[in-house]
Amino acid sequence: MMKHVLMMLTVILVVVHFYGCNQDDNVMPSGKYENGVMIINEGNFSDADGSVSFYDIDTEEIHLKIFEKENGRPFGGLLQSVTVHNGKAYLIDNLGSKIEVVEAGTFKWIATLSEDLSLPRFFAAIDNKAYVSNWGPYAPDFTSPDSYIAVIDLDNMMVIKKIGVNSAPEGIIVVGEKLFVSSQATSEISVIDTGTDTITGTVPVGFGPAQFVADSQGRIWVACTGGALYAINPVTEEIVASVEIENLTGRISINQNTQSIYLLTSTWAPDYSYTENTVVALNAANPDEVSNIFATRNLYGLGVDSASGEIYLANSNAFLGNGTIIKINPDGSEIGNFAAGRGPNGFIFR
Amino acid sequence: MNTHNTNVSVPLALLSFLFQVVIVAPGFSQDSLQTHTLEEVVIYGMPSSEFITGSHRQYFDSLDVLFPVSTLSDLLQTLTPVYIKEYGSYMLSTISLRGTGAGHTSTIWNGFNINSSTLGITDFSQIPVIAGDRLVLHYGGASALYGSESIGGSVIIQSEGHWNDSPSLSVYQDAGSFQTYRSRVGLRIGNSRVESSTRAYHSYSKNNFSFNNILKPGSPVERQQHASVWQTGLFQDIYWKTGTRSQLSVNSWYHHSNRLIQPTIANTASTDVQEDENLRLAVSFQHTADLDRINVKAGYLHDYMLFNNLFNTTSNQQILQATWSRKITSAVKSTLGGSWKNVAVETNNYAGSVIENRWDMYLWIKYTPFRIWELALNIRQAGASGFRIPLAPAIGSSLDLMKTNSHLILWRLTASGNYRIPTLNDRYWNPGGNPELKPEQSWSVESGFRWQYLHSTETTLTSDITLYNMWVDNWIIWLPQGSYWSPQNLREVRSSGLELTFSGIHHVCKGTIDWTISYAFTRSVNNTKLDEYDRSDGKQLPFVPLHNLSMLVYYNLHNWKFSISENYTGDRFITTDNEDAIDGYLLTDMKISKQVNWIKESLLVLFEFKNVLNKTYYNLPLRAMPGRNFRLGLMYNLN
Repeated sequence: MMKHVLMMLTVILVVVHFYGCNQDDNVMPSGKYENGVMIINEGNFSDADGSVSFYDIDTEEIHLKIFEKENGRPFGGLLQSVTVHNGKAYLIDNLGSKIEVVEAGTFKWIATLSEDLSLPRFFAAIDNKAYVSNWGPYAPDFTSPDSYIAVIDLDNMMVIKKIGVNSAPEGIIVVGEKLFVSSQATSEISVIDTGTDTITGTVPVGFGPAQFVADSQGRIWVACTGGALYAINPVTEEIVASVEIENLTGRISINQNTQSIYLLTSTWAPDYSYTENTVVALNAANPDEVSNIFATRNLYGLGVDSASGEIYLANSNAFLGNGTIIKINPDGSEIGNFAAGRGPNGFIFR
Repeated sequence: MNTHNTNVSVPLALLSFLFQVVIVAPGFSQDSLQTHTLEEVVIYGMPSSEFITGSHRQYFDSLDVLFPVSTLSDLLQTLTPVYIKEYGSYMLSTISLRGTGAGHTSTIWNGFNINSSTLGITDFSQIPVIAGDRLVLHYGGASALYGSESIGGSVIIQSEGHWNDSPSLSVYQDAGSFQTYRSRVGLRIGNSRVESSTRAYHSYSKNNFSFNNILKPGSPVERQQHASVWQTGLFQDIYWKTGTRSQLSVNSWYHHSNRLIQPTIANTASTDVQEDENLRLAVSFQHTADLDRINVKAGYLHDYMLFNNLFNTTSNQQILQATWSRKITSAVKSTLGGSWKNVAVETNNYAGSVIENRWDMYLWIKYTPFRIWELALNIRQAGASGFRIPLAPAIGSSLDLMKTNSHLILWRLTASGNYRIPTLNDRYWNPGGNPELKPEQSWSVESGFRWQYLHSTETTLTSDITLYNMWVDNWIIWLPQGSYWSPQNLREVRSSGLELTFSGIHHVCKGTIDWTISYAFTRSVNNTKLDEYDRSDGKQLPFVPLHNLSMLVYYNLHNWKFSISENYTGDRFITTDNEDAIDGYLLTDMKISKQVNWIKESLLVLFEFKNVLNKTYYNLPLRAMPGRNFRLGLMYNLN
């Protein structure tokens, strides 16, 4: 049992991830969770206590476990990611391999999709079609040989197609008519034509491509755990910039106003008694100028509020306790911190 | 049956074999269920037992009738105020004594610690009650006596000869809810010189109980699909008095189990399976002279575990132990002992195979300045390659403050330093194992009073109270370190608490009522912070209930036995910051049995009724547990 848990945790932690921004949020605010920050709390593996917290920026109030509060039952799983699309929030449970769909503003439950998913990770959508990266069932040695992208008809909440991809698909982003998928256990990005839902090409990058952000010029940036950041021109599918940054965790976030990109690294203390996480900043316009702005232990996720420029850091407290959210300014000075749920891994700013 | 601090079944003949003179308080009958002070209990073949002074212990024997095929997991939950963490029905069950973790209790089977060398814990769902003739729950640190991992306490399982001339046979079979079938056969043959005891057990449960899936809208009722368990095993013990003053004992135990690991409600599609196989062998020779006694023991412990038919771990331990006891004066006796252990582990969870040698040296002294006052000084130094293991000293005192025909008041006091060697998984797990780990260390002090009151021949009352304080340093926790998890000597814990036991026997009309209430209050506090944002400093450790209570009332009339047990497990925090908790629960079980006796034979019909109130409860988050369930058993005995 312990062995299993540790192995799963290892696998889960080998892969680090972020939550990307949403371009499709065009519904007028109406519910109580419209304006603020959604905090994605992944949960601890053995307790399956993933949850969503909501932080009201103006009042600085935190609402914990809003899914449970609004629906009378716990989310109960590992909340890998949340994506808001056309007024609905899609909560991906990596443990129970399901997606809970709620009204984004009220968090009232709408539907559950639990068929044809297997260790789902991240979600991207255009119109009424969504793509979800799935690691597929583990082989007995915990590798992921049968990974795929599930294509979902959002009107009927049904998986309509599975597109086989390289092992351990993680980041997923739609740019124009193309879907880019990073496969964390490889050094490749797959390109899928969203018209035909077939793989049309690959972009070779460094090892361990994790998560994407798109900048204002339409380039997509991917953080690779092998220690590099790449910018890809989605039209030519070529690398247009690359920066070596050691010990990247794969977490990435971009301020859409200033084009500042923030990344998280993880390094051992000199005596190997703990690891320290550093927030690394650079600008999409001038990626070679890299600076370390903040460092502490147990950081597990980050996000930037483009409106205020404030950076939100998720401290996991090593999953032993609930997480702490640390707010910092772009210069790295700390604004404050507050308690969130178990294992926070990312943010949605609405 | 008898459950508390008592000793009824050690024949006096055996006791006289040892130095210790059993002092029986006047007025307390030997065959009452609750005899006299625990301090004088000496267990044959366990040299340490007579050097335990001042600590809180609970004794269990004659468990056959109420617990014929139970595991220690059931037994400890029913009879003690100890928290057993159960990962589902019939699943992994670990112990938390005095607010410590699963690896902080040693499990001593016939003198050898059988905690897994890799995980450092014992799964009490895999230990049948018939593993020994006698069970002792030793609360609190006792590394000087039992070595590593004896920080929260020790569970002692000991087998012994009965030395009856007539053979005895016992056959038990039951059938219960969720397609559960359990059987047991026991055969003892021998005379006053040689004895063989054979016990075999087998159990199977489809374990397909229904539960409410609280994670789905409307909490639909679902049936557990993946929790079947299968368990079988054999004990073979040989006792041979090779001379008037010497004895050879051989205890062997083969155990094999297969289980489908019960997933949480959040992950019902899980297909994890685990197979375990254990072979344990203990050979002991003891010789007594006028003032001296030597005891030489050899042990072999083989543990095999296969997870998901892929990850396998094989551990082989060979142990040699020798003790020399001497009565120095009429008031002082001592034991000098040493042991050597070789551990070899082969597993695909480590980068390579691991072989380690460990040794222990110990000296135990007992001084009895007066008949009513006993003092003990015990000390152990262990060694292992690449480690500095702290010295484990212990002092204890036990004083009869009052001893009359109707009252006995005893005052106990003990203090000890204890340790735990990091497990092999802690040090060699690949990736993440930390070879730099230091042993965990604890200091503890406790004091207790015991009062026994013989009201009349009809009524006996006993109460026992223990207060303790414990500090554990270098407590190992696993932390995420970049891409994997790794253990660190990080936590400092202070645990303090109270243990209370009240029990009584009343002879009413033609029957007897025997009752016990045990309660534990446990405050186990973390005193460390992972970083400046951590909110766990000064908070109760997760999964340590503040309150735990067990109550057993047992009525015996004309071969009818009726028992009702209540077990309350208090709220447990899930997170170290105490912001999330899981609700406490009260469980009620009932048993009724009728025995029919012939000249040499008897037949017992036993009906068990578990979770009578059909409570929905969770020992661990989202691990469903069965509602009301039943079983009917039949036991045939030939004496």
